[in-house]
Amino acid sequence: MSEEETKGWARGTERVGDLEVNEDLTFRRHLLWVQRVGLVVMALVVVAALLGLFGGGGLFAKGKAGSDDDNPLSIREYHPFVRFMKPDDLRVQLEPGAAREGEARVWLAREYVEGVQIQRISPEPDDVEAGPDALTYVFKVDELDEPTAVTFHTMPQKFGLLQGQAALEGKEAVNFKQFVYP
Amino acid sequence: MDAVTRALVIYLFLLVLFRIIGRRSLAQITTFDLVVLLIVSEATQQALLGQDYSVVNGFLVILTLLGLNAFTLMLTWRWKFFDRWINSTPLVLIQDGEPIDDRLKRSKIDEADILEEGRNQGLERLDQIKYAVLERNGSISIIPQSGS
Repeated sequence: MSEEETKGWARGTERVGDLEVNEDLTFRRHLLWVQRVGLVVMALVVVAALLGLFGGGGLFAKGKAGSDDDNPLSIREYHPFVRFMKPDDLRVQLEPGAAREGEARVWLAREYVEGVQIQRISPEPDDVEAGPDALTYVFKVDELDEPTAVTFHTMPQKFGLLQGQAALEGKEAVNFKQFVYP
Repeated sequence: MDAVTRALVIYLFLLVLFRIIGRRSLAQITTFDLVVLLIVSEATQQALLGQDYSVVNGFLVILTLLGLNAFTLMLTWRWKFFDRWINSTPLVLIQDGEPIDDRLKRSKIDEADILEEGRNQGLERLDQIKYAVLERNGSISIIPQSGS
């Protein structure tokens, strides 16, 4: 194509018949490939979300921890995948034998408590004691004949991996992990 | 920092996502396309502002988005590579009155879509169309045959 023939064309355009248009068929092929891969990735993300890998319900949305015959405390339900500032629940189960001298003293590791905001506890503890490594929630109980659940209503305040520990005073701690999505 | 980061991440996410799903979705072909876009904008707003409804947060988000838009414009103006990937390129669908079936199929456009655009220009039949071009914004431009 001579310079004379291309005079007056818009910058970067080519000719398709009589039409000046900046078509790029090589780019179109690459774009098609990227779109196909992108759609597959999107579908996988949706499937992962339905399975509970992004929080909010699904097959992998719930977990348990520490169901051990010797330990009167276990995590009955927690969510391994949660989202930033989305309300969440941590259910701690206390078995008969969890209370001593009329009290069940449940402690949560400070690292976990600082990563979430505990908005409410059901039932409400009678006292909360702050220590350097943990917060201890004191529940006054007359008798603990049956398993009882204590629910901590939380709201994650930090992104990333959250290491949690819960225990009865003097007993082995139960570990759990949560991943907080931004 | 939070406001700027949110705006940046969401801007890039939307840029990539709309490139993947194709520009026809943005062209608001049907009422439902418009409804979907409105719902997307509503979901985006929640993610941008979070729990912070302060004026300063709003200013920062708007500033970041407009700044990114200006930066993108500069990138696409200076480098054709970015222009292609961000804005895409036109695609001729009908040339000299002949539909290019392979391109129509890949663009998920059929002759009915082209005839619809042709009717907007008072054209009645496909053979009155010399060129049909899928533009960068997802719309279809029609060049009629001379004498139509």
